[in-house]
Amino acid sequence: MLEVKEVKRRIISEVDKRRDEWVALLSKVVQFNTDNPPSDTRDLVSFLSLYLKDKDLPVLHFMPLEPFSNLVTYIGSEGQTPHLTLNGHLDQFPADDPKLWTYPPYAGIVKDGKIYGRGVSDMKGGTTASLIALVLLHELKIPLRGRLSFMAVSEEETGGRYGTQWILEHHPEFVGDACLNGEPYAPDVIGIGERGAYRMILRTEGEPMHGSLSAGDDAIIRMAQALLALRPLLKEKAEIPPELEEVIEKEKKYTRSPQDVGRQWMLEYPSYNVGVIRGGTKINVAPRYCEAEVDIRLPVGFKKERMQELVYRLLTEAGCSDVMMFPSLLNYVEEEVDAQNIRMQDATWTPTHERIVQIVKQNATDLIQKEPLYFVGMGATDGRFFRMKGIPTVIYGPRPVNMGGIDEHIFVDEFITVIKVHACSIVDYLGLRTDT
Amino acid sequence: MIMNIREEILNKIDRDRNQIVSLCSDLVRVPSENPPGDTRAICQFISKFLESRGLSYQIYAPQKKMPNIVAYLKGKKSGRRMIFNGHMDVYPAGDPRRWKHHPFGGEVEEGKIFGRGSSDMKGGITASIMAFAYLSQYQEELKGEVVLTLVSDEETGGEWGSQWLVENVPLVTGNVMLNGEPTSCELISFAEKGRVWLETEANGLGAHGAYTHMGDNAIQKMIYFLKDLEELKTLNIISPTDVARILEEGREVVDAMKGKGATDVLMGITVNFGKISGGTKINMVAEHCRAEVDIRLPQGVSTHPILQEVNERASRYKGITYKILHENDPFFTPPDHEIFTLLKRNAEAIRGGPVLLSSGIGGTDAKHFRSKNIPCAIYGPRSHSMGGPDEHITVDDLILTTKIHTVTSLDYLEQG
Repeated sequence: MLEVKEVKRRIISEVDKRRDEWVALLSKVVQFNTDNPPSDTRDLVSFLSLYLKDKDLPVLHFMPLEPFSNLVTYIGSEGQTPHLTLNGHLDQFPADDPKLWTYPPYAGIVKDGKIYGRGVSDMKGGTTASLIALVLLHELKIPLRGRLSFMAVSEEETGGRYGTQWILEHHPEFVGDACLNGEPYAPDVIGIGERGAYRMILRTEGEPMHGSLSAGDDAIIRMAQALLALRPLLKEKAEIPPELEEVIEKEKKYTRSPQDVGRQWMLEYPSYNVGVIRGGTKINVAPRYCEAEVDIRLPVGFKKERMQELVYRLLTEAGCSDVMMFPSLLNYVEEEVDAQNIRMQDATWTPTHERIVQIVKQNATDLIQKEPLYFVGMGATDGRFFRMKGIPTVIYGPRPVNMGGIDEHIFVDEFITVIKVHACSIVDYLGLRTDT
Repeated sequence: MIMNIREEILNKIDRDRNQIVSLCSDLVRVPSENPPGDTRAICQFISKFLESRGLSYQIYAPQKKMPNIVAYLKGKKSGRRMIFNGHMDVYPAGDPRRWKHHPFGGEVEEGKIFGRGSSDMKGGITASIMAFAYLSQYQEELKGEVVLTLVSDEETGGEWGSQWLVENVPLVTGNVMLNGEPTSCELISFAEKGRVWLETEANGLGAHGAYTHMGDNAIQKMIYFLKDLEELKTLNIISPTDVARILEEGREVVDAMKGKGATDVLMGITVNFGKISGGTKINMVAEHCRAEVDIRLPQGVSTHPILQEVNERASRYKGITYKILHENDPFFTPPDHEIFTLLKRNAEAIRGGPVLLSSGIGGTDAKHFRSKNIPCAIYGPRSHSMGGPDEHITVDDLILTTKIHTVTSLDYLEQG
């Protein structure tokens, strides 16, 4: 009878043997420009489809809206349990000016143990790792008891309405009872949760009178007052759920990459960003309106209702009760409001005792020879859609370097480790058929 | 003798009422939006009008598309020189679909003349042109000189209009300047607020919005800076006493006309933010932000200390820079000047009801004449929807302004 230990040994050996093949595949994936906007993933999906079909794996395409093409493949059949879903996005942050890059953003250059390219860390490395794990299990004919689904989606960077969210809604047959996603935290990190978001558009209005007549309370300065009035929200502490207290405490001490330094307070307090501001047309005419787009992130234990009350209170106390907020202003229809802009959602997490969490943690420990840390991520991933449905979800991926910046890259060694951890975790989670 | 001439002219104006309205309507119908500021068509129209009345003039066009007309009338007897000044360019009309009456239709309906520029200031220049025309019919009896200046480029600062004329044409300096910018016929403007226009820029460091600690938000920085600028309102002001007294006296009338608190606005430093734009996406730390600031200064506050304050405040922040788009000091003509006595007397007599001195709203070309120490008086029709859709003036105000400009000039020259 086949033993899990033996299977894992075979997997790890095979991953190591064909290392160059996996790196070449990732390099090729990076060569597809899937910048979002416009998030055109069609060519990459075509490429991956051919790759999978060549290995006799089933392939499904879903494109609810052009050009957001999504790919699904799977091992096993409907009804098999347990069911694990591998989820990863193919779209990426735009590349900025390619001339500023030393290693061109869409060349997929491999050098000095690193793979360079826009999207390689966020998150082509992780998505490809998941795919390779599935392909390997298929090629090695590992007799899995449960079912494995893989979805490579479009449009994650802009909210996932036509990517993960759409598939979850329309194709529940690919939604497992657990989810594994290769977003880039680090090989010594097990992502079990992420911050929520409270996003809003603030709007002030005024009479477009001549600047010389205005008493100085125009829509722009009133918006400035409103934005300054929000600052105290940075001092409102979240009520960390007892089960996450230890996780948060340990996470506060983790500072292995530049992103980690100075962010500790964001684990317990909200952070906010004024992303866009616009208002007025002429210097000497009071603006008809001013709008600001604000993105507040909620730590675990800080409910969106509390943030809503807090925002209302802070604005009222500062004398800014005339400031309008979306979506609370029901009758406002002058401009189309991007659904992403009005996202309001609590932080989501998966309890650490969940099976998938323990499995990934164990495999990571075995492979990196050190105990990984549980993490609540700062940014948003598509994992939240699974967690919102009560599906235990783990994030396990490579460390990102210059994510969203110039000369973005990941380390080949870490990429390989992620493949191994994903593959071994799948085996543990789905188990082996006893009829072999 | 002069009394008869005065009576005669006033009767002529009444007799020619329809013609005067037609002239104003015709002027409105020639578009002269600035930007872009091309006034060649209206200049040609006015030139033809002057020619039809046998009046000679000269064109000065340091900028080809922005010609200025200077017409000269010399009385038989020598004396003072009166300058009439008014601009031919107008504010842009905006979206014609928002107008009920076409912006360049010059429609006359229910005693009103509609169109862009009707109040600012084709009504005013109609009065100046007609005053000049009537006075020229009495050249024999006239004492002194009248110079009619019709300029371009006022909406954009006057560099190629009034400023150029004052600096380059010796004829365009005199004892007093009279201008028909809209003052609502109840008020005579003797003062104008100063102005500092700034374009400010904030630069920061971009980052993903979930990692705000890695970036430096330019919008946040700009907000702090704008709040600092707003504090300029609280700076100490020492107003020249007679100016303060006059503005206080006019408080009730001015506030009733322009809204409660208008007098305080006139007497104080105001800081207005006309435009702001920054950032690219809600979930990205903004790297750039731009804003435009319009600061108005009351009498007694010059631009120098204000600019020093702006500089000090900008230096509090790394990454804040600014550019001065425009600056001019406030100015006024001593309110006890003869021209104001005459205007007030004539306006009260012809219009009925009290007429007060006040500070003007906004800027006019008077600043260029004041820079040469020429006393300036502004008196014109009431503006309705100035700069907005369906801008108009009343026919009554147009005729009133024409009468008052004409007889006041006559009186002023006669007393020279």
